[in-house]
Amino acid sequence: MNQEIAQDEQANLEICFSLNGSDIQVKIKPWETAVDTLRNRLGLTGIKEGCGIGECGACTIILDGKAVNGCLILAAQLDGRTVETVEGLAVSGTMNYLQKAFLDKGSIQCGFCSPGMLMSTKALLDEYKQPSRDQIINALSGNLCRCAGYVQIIEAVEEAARQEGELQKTTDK
Amino acid sequence: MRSEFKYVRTDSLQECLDFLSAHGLETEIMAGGTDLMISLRGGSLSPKFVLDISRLQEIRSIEKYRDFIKIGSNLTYSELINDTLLARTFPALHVAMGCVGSQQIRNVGTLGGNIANSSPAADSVPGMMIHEAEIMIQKADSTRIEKLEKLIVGPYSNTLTPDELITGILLRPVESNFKQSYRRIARRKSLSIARVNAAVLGSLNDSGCIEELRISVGSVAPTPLRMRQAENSIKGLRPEFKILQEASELVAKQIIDLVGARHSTEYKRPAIAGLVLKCLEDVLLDQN
Repeated sequence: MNQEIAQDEQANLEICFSLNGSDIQVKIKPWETAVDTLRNRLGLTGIKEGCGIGECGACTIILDGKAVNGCLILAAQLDGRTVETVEGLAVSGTMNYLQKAFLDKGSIQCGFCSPGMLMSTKALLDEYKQPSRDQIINALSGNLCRCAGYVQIIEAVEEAARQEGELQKTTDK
Repeated sequence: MRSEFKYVRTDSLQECLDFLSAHGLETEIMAGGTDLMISLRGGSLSPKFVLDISRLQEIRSIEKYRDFIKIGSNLTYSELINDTLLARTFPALHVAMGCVGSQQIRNVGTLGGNIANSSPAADSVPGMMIHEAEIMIQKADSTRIEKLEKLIVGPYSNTLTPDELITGILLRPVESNFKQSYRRIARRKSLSIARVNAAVLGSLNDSGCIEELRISVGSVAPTPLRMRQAENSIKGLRPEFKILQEASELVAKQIIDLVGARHSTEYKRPAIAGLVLKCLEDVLLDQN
């Protein structure tokens, strides 16, 4: 307990950033990673830490529109920026279309890679509405799935992009 | 054991350089942080300060500088890959940058960081070497320009002093009749460190003989290298397969001579020769 308090006294750096649409203010230790802060201080346990060295992609978050490894970013670097995590996808308890496509296509087994996969997918589809299969593979190549469900994951991304495309057509009419 | 440090971010390049001149010895510079964070996490580096330069706008532009194109050291791989001028002018480097890490790594990693880290296996370095890259280095009150070949002196080792910052990469564009190629051998496509990588640039003259040729090889020696002896051995000759084969075997021989025979030599010698041969074929045989 004492140790915890002592450690928290080191949390002397205050940062402000936009987190899933809300402005957040939090005190952190200067050497904390973004994963540490999001999980342990802000309770966003959707973000996973797998390898901790930027190889598995389980910690993928979107920073100013770009997918990045939360384990290779200092929390201090979030200051003043826009952060999106998997918790921001569902709106009032309803899955968004990406999550639904992952479920429909059987893209989830153990689920550890899913939050990172979803965030890499969101960053891709935010930039390219109708990505090619190669673009999808490239965008997800920094996310490892040890249940080896890559085909289903790629199909889910294709399906999500297709549905969005059709939805767009209907709204355009 | 994770290192504990103070986080510092400055608003301008000058403030950043001033900070380095006062505290450079006890500071690690963070650009993309993709290599640095791992060393900080493991505790192999434990600086007093981590200086975050990722927001310095002054070193994030692409512009003409004398007869070079100057690339701001702070631009990320993703930004550089998406730049159509760079893709057209430096196609080998363009391919090389696409081989770096993963999308997440390329979204934060920078060319300046790749040079400063000075890994023998850096993907981008051979792609810059064939353009005779020169590196703009600044400190609080002065600027120097150093050839990339001279800057990197050993594995993870370079001539940068603690008060200096890489601010620009100067690449010399070539005429449109030049062709370029970059190839690598690695265990898998993404998130892998190259076992061998090579960049080649060359042109033929009107009579179809090799006019200009530059070969750079990485991952197989303490630093990425320019292979001038092999280049000169076939300049002026007609690019026949056998000639190219001899030049690539010379590259492999020189590297083995340099690093000495190791348990991996049996693999490395044909791997280096084969990779360089493919690059030479890309550049010199496909020109119709």
